[in-house]
Amino acid sequence: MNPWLFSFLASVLLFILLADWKQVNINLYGGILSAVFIQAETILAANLGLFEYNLVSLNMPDIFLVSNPVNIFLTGIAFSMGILIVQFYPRKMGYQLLSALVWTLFLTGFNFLLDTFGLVNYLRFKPYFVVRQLLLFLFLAWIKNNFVFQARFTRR
Amino acid sequence: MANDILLNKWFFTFITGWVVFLILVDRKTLNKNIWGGIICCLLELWEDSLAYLMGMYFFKEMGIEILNVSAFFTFGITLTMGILFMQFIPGNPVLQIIHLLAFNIGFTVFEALVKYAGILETPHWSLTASFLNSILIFGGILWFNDYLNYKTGRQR
Repeated sequence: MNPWLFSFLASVLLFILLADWKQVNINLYGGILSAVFIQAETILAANLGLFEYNLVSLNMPDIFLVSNPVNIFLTGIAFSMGILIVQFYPRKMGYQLLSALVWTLFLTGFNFLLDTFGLVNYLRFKPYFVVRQLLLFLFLAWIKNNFVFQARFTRR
Repeated sequence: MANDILLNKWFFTFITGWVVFLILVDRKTLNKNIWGGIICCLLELWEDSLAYLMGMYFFKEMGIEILNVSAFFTFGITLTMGILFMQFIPGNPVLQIIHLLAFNIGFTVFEALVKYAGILETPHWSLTASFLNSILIFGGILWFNDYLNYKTGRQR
């Protein structure tokens, strides 16, 4: 089976099991921003020769979206995980920082797994270059604090 | 040696940054906003020194060097603009996004200027990548600003 498709299906399963369906509409921004960020990073990294993904079109039709420079499966994983990241943010900011750090740790582990299974070529990059993602997670928390929590507080 | 430093282009940006800073700084809130400068310095040193090691981009005519980065940049523009970014964050979250974009555009123009001046070489980096990266840095600092307000608010 295509390893990228497998990872994508695993993320969809995790999403179905853990998502709070009543809140999905307000947490959707986390998925959209994460997907946009990862897609931009994938395209920029390939163009700049930093890293490139492998085997995206294994046993699949090699079309634009299912190709190494675009990798729609990774974008899908980022979309579902982005929603979950935002959903699980607590109100206390100290715990938000802790939550962002834990998700960054998961991401680092995922990057190492990709490297181990030969799904990525790190040309001028390392799996632990995740400070950008940590900052993205904190930015998602900032959006939740200032728009989602604030809106709920105003309605009361 | 002293003459070399005075003619150094990074030193020129250092002086410019500090002049703007001394004109605009609010000394009453500096004890909180200095964290904006410290966070920017740490992120800049981490990202730029790794970028040098990976061959993404590198500084030329550094003057004084720290971890393969020009110390005039780290303790000049990065420190001073990090503090001013935090100082001028408005209260309204929508205006905060506009503030983030304004600083980001300013930083991208600065990067284009230092590239034009020949003191930054970017064999595997681009202004688009830098723009995306800076959005995340400033976005993360917006969260840290709220965190510092939350902590100091509780202490009052």
